[in-house]
Amino acid sequence: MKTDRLDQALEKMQADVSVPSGLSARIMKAVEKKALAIERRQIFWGSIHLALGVSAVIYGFTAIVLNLLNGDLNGYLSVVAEDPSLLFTEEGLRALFEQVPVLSALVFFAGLVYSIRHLMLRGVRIKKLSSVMAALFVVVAFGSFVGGMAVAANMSGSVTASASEALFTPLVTASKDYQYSSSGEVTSVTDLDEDTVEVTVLLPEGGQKIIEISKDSMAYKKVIQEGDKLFIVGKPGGFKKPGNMKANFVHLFSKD
Amino acid sequence: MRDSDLILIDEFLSGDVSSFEAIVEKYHTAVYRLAYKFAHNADDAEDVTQETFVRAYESLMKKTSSEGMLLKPWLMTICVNLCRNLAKKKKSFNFSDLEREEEEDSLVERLQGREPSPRDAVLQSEVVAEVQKAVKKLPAKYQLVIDLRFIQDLSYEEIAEVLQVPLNTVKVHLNRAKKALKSYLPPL
Repeated sequence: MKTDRLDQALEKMQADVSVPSGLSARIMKAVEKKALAIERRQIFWGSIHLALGVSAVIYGFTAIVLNLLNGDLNGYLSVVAEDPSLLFTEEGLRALFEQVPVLSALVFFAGLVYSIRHLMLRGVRIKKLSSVMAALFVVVAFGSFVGGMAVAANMSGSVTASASEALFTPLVTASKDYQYSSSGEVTSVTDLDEDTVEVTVLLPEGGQKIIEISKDSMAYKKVIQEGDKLFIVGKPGGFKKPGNMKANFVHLFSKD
Repeated sequence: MRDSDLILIDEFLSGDVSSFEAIVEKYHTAVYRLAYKFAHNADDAEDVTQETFVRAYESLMKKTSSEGMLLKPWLMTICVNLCRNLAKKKKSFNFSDLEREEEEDSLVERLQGREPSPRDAVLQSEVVAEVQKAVKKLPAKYQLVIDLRFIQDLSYEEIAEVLQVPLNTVKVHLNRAKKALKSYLPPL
């Protein structure tokens, strides 16, 4: 037999295996069963991933709220608003980073991105995304409300702060070395020696802080005088005079 | 044909699950027949066919784009992989034989040995039937490549991909099978 004839004959061959009737229906039944199992599995793992993401969002958001309520960011911002050039100084930037809860913000945004990305990867259609975002917003709002209530309760002294402190302190405190931060008004400036001055700062919450400032510091170079407003971050103890606080950095906010 | 496949896949990926039903409707016959070639019994072939589409569904759920997808060879590759697993359990097909070459003489002997030559009996209208009968006498691997090439209409490259053998092996198998058939069947 010639090759071209053989090829023609081969091409005209019919499949010799007959397909059982209703096979496609049975296949679809098996596929639907599997689809259901896949959907259940996706819902299960999706819920876990979403719960983790939303927890991170709530955790971060609440920590930010707590930090804002406890910290002195408002005071800092109002001073910066008066003199935005502060942001371009080393101490101004450091003070900003000290006030902004970077880690909490990171946890918040990472949680948010993770949740949204997870929802999109899991095939949540865009039209559904808005409702999911709305749900997420409600959850975050609820979380921040709970956090705010905890702070309010803490401030009024009706509940002990230990739980929330234990939970949020590592996040709220941007640097664990800095145990104190505040701003206040300078009431006196005294030379301690050729390198250091002693500055007394009247604190808005009452009382005063006596801090030692190096004459090399930017704040001192701006000539600190009585009536100036200072932003101070530091840790107490272990300095030239017992009880004094050595400022890790000091920023001169405004001069009268 | 391939464009319509891509449309079906795209529809499925955009959330239209019913388009998978169209895929099943379109290819279940081809997949079943391929599965039967390996399984040699209807029950196993049906199980493999069902599992092929279930795996395909699962796999499609994870995809985001139909780019570069050839639906039929892809389904057949899944089917062959499942048949490979089945063959390990039931010894229904010797996959290692797929890449081994047969002596040409032994092929012709195989064709001639079982039934009397149809040399005198062939009529023009019966050529195809005779060819088909002769193909059935070939070793399973040659039947398989002939089936995939001439009945399933796959290219050499697609056959190589589906069977996971080198392209050259496919060419050699087809060539040997055709040579054996040519020398066995009467001249027309």
